[in-house]
Amino acid sequence: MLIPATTGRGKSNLVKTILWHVLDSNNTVGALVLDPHDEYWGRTENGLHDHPKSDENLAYYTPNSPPAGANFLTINLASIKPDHFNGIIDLTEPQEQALRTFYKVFKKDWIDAIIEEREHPDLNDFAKKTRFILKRKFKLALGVDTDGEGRIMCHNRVFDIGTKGTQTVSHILEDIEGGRVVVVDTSQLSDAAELLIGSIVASEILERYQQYKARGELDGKPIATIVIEEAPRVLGEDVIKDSSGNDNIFGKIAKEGRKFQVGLAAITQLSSVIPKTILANINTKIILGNEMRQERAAVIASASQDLSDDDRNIASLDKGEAIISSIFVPFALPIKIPLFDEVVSDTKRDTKVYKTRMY
Amino acid sequence: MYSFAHIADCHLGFQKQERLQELEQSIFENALDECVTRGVDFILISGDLFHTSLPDMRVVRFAFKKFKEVYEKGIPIYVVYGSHDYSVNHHSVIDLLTDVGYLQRADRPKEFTGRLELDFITDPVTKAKITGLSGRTTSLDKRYYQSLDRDALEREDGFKIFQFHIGVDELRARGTPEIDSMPISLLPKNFDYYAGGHVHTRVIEDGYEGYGTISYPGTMFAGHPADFESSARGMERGFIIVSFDEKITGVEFVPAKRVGFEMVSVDASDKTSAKVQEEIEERVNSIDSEEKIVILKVAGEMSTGKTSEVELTKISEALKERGAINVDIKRNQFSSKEYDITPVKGENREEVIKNILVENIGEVKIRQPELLGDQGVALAQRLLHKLKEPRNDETVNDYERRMIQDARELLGMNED
Repeated sequence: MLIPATTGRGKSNLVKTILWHVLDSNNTVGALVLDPHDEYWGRTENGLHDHPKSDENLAYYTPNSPPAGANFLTINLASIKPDHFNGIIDLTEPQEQALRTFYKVFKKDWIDAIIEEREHPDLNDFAKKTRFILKRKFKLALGVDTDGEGRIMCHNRVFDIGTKGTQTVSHILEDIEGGRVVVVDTSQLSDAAELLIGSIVASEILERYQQYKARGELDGKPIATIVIEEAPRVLGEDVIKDSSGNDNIFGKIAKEGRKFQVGLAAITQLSSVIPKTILANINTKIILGNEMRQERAAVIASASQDLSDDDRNIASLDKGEAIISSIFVPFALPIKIPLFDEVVSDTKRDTKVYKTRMY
Repeated sequence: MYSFAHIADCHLGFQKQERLQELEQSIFENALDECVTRGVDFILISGDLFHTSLPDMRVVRFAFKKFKEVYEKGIPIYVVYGSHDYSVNHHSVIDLLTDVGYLQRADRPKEFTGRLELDFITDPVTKAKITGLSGRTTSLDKRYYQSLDRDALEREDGFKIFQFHIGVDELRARGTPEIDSMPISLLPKNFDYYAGGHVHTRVIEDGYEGYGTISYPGTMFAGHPADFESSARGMERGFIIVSFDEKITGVEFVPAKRVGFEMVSVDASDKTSAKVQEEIEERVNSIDSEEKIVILKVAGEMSTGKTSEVELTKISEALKERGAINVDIKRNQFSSKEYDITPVKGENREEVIKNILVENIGEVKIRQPELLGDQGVALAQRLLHKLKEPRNDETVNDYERRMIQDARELLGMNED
């Protein structure tokens, strides 16, 4: 799904409202929501945690003092594989080869080895400078550094080299496979670290679902979707392919994920920088207001229905108004999106308060 | 400087074989003796002391005797219950131990008025403040933790310990049996030590913002079919001793009385039954099984022959004749191409049962959501577990009544 719109047209309100209803979907949809503004769970205002089924169907991971019921977001560096960096940090071919050699030689300790500048005969083919630049890029991306005694420490408290966070990725996967909505607060992370987490989970979920399909077990699994803001960060022309010309995981999901019940909900202001092949593969678009002609043109050109006469309508869509274009509907549908706060208030009014008995 | 011991998941009464029962008893008694020898100021037992609420009289007898000894030495024992310890419908053996004062309950809920308020119990010698929550079932536990009055608990000053019996997501380890768990954030903050039970592997972890040391000593012997296998793979069993004054000054893991294990894994894939038999015998003959618990694991799909042609019972008998304490045969994943029997996935009986339930719950066509999906599977597992409880020193009628009451309670059915 693509949600194109300019700022202030109600993207967050729309996504929150969709996710609110996903929480009611009887676990038929699992979602990973990368939340760079920490706005979906609702620490300070109405959020998904106000949903009556949030205890069962919503998971929230945050590095920042988790509220009761939320999980610490800690990811062990050993959970990360070289492929997870495709499209996340920009690497030259020698850097990419060096990275893979580090993984081959040091296995699960490969990132520690890069940061600690460990030596190994297999690494002698790579210039010192290449390894040094690799180290610098990893330090920046992961927010890690070494202290005075050479021990690795992480500034954002998300990545851990010790015993913590070894199971976080599998827990997130379990949640998604259980048809839950998983909100990951990435507000304290760099862009690269946020996208890396998305890349890790997306890679693992696609791999699992591919295996389920191969074994004939895909039926009954919930649809898995990854909600990503500012989608050109991973789907843009300049980042979608690695130095060997392969699509990163988000590109793969956009192109072939639907065969395996895995999808993206890509939110963007700049559809025009996403390759046409990717836009064309995204079958459902919820188009919000957009004054930028170039962006409208990109969306209209890739829509499932002929929207060429609706160019001005899209430009003049008000906040909360949208047009759905999809292969799943016979014609483009105009819709009105309810205000999330009103959805929450209505639900609260209709929900009975449960009192726990203590034995 | 003070110290306390932290024990959990003894599951007394879990073992059915006489030699294993003896080991279960001696490991438990040795641990309490060690606590006395080391002069700990108090002992914490964080649930699942017993495997059932009404264990047989042999177990009750040795447990009472040992707790009486510790009581007479003046060492208090604070407990929370685990889901195995208690029943909501009738008194449990652990209740008798608390009634006579050998054990003191650390979970002391005040009157429940929307928020769950807990009282602290203050250890008379060390002035450590202890509180906690017993374990029941995940959904109920989570509800209790969600309604906990955290502010009052977090504001309390002094050296504080929180005892609990549930897993926490962040510390759940790969390869351990699936357990009930909740996020760390449902535990109240600002305690110096979190004395956990329910997780059967050892975990001692620091560094979660707002939380002191969170520990699970794990079981000292076994309380789950997978525990022996973990021990055979090198998992050290024991309990924890914590030294403290105003803050924790040391955390030491104390190994339990040593039990020898041997693990024999044989891959039967694409082999004939005769070849598998030969390979198992060869492997088994190469180990020293004297006074050891042997885990014999056979997995894979044979090319020809029946699985029954591989004489595992005979091999087991031979090992016992050579002095093995017990032989635990695991063949859940053992099959043959000659037979169209698809083995159900799962490393142990509990996992196999769960997987069968997961695969078939979709066939249940009813409207009650609590009987469907994950909730339905969890409920069925709890019900099966309850119905497996053996009849103890009670009449058939009493046993039947107890089982029906417990089952009705689990299903949330009222008497009327």
